[in-house]
Amino acid sequence: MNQIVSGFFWVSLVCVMAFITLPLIVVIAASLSPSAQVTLVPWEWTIRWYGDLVASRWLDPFMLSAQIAVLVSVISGVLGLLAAYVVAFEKCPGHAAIMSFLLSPLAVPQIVKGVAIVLFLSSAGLYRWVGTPGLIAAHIILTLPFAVRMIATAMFNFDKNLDRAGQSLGATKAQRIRHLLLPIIKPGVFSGMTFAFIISFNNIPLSVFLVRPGETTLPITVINYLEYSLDPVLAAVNVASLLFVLAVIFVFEKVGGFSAQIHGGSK
Amino acid sequence: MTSTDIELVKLSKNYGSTPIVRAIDLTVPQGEFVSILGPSGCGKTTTLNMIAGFTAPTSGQIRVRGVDQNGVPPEKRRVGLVFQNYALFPHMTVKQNVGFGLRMQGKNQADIDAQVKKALHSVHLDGFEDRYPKELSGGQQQRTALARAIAPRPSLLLLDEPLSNLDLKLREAMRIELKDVQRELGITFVYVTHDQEEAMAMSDRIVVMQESVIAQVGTPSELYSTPRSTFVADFIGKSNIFAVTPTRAEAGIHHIEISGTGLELLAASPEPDQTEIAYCSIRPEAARWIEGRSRPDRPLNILPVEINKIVNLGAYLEVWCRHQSDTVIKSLISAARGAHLKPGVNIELTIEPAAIKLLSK
Ligand SMILES: Nc1ncnc2c1ncn2[C@@H]1O[C@H](COP(=O)(O)OP(=O)(O)OP(=O)(O)O)[C@@H](O)[C@H]1O
Ligand SMILES: [Mg+2]
Repeated sequence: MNQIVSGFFWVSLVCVMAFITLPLIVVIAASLSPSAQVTLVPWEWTIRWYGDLVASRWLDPFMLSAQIAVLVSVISGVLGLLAAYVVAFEKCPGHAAIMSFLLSPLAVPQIVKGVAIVLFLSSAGLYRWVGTPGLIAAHIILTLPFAVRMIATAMFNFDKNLDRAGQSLGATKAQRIRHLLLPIIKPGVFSGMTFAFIISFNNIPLSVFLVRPGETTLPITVINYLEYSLDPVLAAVNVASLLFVLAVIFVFEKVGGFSAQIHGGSK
Repeated sequence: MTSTDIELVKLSKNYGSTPIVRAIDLTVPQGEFVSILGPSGCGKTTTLNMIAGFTAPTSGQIRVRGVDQNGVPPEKRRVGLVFQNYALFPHMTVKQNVGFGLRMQGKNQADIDAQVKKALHSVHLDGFEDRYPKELSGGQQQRTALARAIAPRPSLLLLDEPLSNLDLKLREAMRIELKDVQRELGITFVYVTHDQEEAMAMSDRIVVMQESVIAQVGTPSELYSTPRSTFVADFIGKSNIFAVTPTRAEAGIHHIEISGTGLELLAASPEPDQTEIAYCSIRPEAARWIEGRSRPDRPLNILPVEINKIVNLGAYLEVWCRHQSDTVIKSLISAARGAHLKPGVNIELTIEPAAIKLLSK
């Protein structure tokens, strides 16, 4: 009986894994397709489509997306840290309400937000902001709640006795923040920044309203391209950007050491 | 050993309208090991937090070496702290943890290293410098926390139930070590605990707290031999406590009747300071089983009793004895002597009048 139950769990796990990875496998296979039409032939493949990626048609949007994502990630991290500190430690009035308010952006569809932002910019006479500055601002609106929540959660988990211990050992507030709080919540900050980076880098629904012709982000370029053709180059673009995001996660994880936190481990 | 280290003057703390600590007065001389002992929720931690500066008193004063601490932030008080959960910095090695206080003071690295080494040596943790807290056992974490607190050489160390997360054997060993460290360094220790054995074993003086006030202050032996209330008699060691009515007194001997039983006892201890006699306390070891002895012609309580129950405590037996008046007295008898005792056996208990403590409440 136990074996049947445990077998059932195993089968479920395999199904979940297959379900998640199947699209990936299809995209990878498509990117290796030997002909310009996407064909899946297991014993014939080529990597020549990847050579097309260095063309400025793909490279420029990639660079733009990466730059925006880096800026969004850094700004979200810094602002998120400051805001979270006030919510978690200064116990500003209504700090509990603020924490739940930070969840609410998830309830508003991004399309609605995109429309709102464009309307705001045009009615405020800031239409020239459409383009990169608008993209950065809009992405930050999207990522900040995640960043604040993740960093505030790390701060809530910070053992106040550590701060007291530091205090009794003569550390000033600035010293305690620098030597105790920041190193201990670092994984939370970095996971918030990683989320911000990924959300920004992959964003379509908001960006679609704010890109300017000739200055598009990578996901928007992909969507535009998709209207005309579905070919191995597009698959190669997707695989390459996936690898890039994984590399970024890897680097952030190395620096921030947050995997234990995301996986629910303790230290 | 003579100068005063801490003085609490009418120290009080309310949360809302609830008094948590009420008008505590206490003077602790430099180098003393004083325990604050009391049941859970009586205000021990609150008192400690006020001394450390984390909680502002509602009224009253805290003086450390004569200086009023009102408004002095915790980081300026130079008071060491040891927490129940140790509160070690998880991202620092043992060495970095212990050196933290010195580093914050801006000491140079050579001094820090030397003092860290010394502190670790005094808690027997040589060789653990480069471990992280999570790589240490509970006892080692406890020692690290102690070393961290003593490394900057505070003149006063506050400890809040530092041993309560350790198992019994280790706790007993650590008591002795803590006491040794305290004596060697000559630091004043204010030690909070709810474990009376721990307080008895280590303290020069014990402050017994009961619901936000001090019930009694004294050396361990004073508290044991002359408790001033049933609370203290019951909390410090074991005791037979009976409600009594005094019947008469002559030549320094009180005749008291255990209420509702008709059993009369003779007590020679001083009267309680406050009001009238209402209770008496008899330590189990004072209710002695003496075989075949002629009656002396001085006042002595001799009670024929029947054994009711025997609780084996290892070296001793706690023998529950019932007098014909239905009074049950617990007596402590060495296991070797009482080997053949059984429930139902009749014996005689002898209680010196001086061993019966008279209490007001
Ligand atoms: N911040 C606070 N606000 C309100 N009440 C509090 C606060 N801190 C403590 N108390 C109350 O004060 C009382 C004493 O608390 P304290 O922590 O001093 O007890 P304690 O003697 O240390 O107990 P224990 O042995 O369980 O640690 C408790 O009834 C507690 O509920
Ligand atoms: Mg406490």
